This record gives sequence, structure tokens and C-alpha cells, in this order.
Amino acid sequence: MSIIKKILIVIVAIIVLVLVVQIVNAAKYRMVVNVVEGENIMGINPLADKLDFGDLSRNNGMTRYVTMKSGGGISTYVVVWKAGEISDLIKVNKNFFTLTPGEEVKLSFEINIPPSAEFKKYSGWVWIFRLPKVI
Amino acid sequence: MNDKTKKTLKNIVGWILYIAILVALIWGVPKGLAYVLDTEYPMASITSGSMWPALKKGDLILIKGIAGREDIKEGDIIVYKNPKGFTIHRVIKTNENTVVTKGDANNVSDAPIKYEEIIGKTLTFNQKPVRIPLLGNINTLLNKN
Repeated sequence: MSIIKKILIVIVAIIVLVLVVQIVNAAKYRMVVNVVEGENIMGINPLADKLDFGDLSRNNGMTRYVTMKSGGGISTYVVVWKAGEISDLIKVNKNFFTLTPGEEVKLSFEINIPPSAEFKKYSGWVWIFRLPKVI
Repeated sequence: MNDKTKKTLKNIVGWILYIAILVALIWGVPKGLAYVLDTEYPMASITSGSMWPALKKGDLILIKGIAGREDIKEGDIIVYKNPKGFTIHRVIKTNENTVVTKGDANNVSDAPIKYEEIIGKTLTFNQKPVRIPLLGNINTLLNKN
């Protein structure tokens, strides 16, 4: 095996390792909303382990918050990634930003149910990655 | 000519061919689609959620030209020009001279438009619009620059 190939393998291995660590360390929240018939219906589930928007009727909205605090000694770059059927309905107030040591940021996840939504449960995930900022 | 030179030349020719094919595809696909779909604008990107869930932000859709007003029916998703670009909304009412459209996810309908303003309607398969998820984002980025 040539030296170039060996170097490439090491680089790829490091990238894969960094990715795996980031995926494992990311804060993961399940998001769920139940779209129900009727007008101005809002049923809240005050759970902290997931972003449960409860029961909502069409043309209604709700916001839930996740507070992030940097306790470490270095800045981190925050990336919010949402996936699943519900992700099209969710707006995040802040993404791709730097969290400096000691700083606290409140992320808002705002859901709006459009009139074209079906009466069913929409779910998905939000992953919050915190990448150490070296430079 | 020794073996090493031959190999290098072969590599260079291979790369030139690869780039030529890529350029031909990038240039040729829109031209080909414009001819087949009979419209000047065969593709469009979805930049808002107003047609959710039928069309999602970031989708790339194909547009086919229309021969006349008889091609437009209620329920069709049509494309027409607005001062800022294009609007891609569903027809909710057809009148003698105008068409009323509305985004599926909007609560209010749009102002009526004339038939002449319509560029085309979305290409459908099994009564669903043909859409390529996320590819519209690339198209939007390319058109920005």
C-alpha cells in the first residue's frame, strides 16, 4: 500500500470518528404534533424529554423552547438539523451560530398548522450538534 | 511513445470526455426538456411552503406548456409570472377570462390572473405533481449567482 493511500485512510478514519462522536453527542429531541379537527383547539403536553406540541387544530400555532448553555472553556458552533414529516411545519429562530463560553441561548421551535394539513399525527426529530470551534 | 506517456494521455482524454459530457448534460437537459415539454421554462424551484404538502420547499418541479385555456382545469397546479418571479399555485376557479388560484397552505386566494399570464402547469404522474426533493435548492443557489 502506498503512503498516499495510507494517509487517505487515516484522514477518512479521523473524519468518520469525528462524525460518529458528533452524532452520539448531539442533543436529540423527538417532535410530535397531533392535528385535530375543529377550530382553536390546543392541547398541551408539558413534557421536557421531547418537543411535544400536543393537539392543534388547523391555523393554529405553538412555540416550544430549548435552552442551551455553554459550560465548557471553548466556543462551539451550533447546527440545528430537523428531519421527518413534522420538519416542514417547524421554524427554528436560530441556526448555524457560535455559542461562546458561559453564553446561554434560547432556541424557539415554532409550529404552524396550515389549512392543508391532514388530521393525523406528524412526527420527526431535531438534532442539535455542537461542534468545537478550534479557530 | 512509452507506456507512461500513453497512460497519461489516456487519462487526460478521459477527463476531457467526462467534462464534455457533464457540460452537455447541464446545458442540454434544460434545452431538451424545454423542447419536450413545449415551454420556455421547463423547471422551477419551490421556494416557499405555500403549496405544502403537495409541493415542499426545495423541490424541483417540471412544467409543461399549455396550448390554450381548455388545458386549464380546477385542481391543476399552474405557474404564472408575478413581479418578483413565478407563482406556483392551484387553480380553484376558472372564469371566462381569468383564473383564480390559491396556495394549498394559504387561507386566502390570490388575485385573479388572465389566461395569457399562465406559463404552464406542473407535470403530473398518477395525478400527483412530479417533484424532485432538494434539487430545487441547488437550482435556487445557481440562479442567485
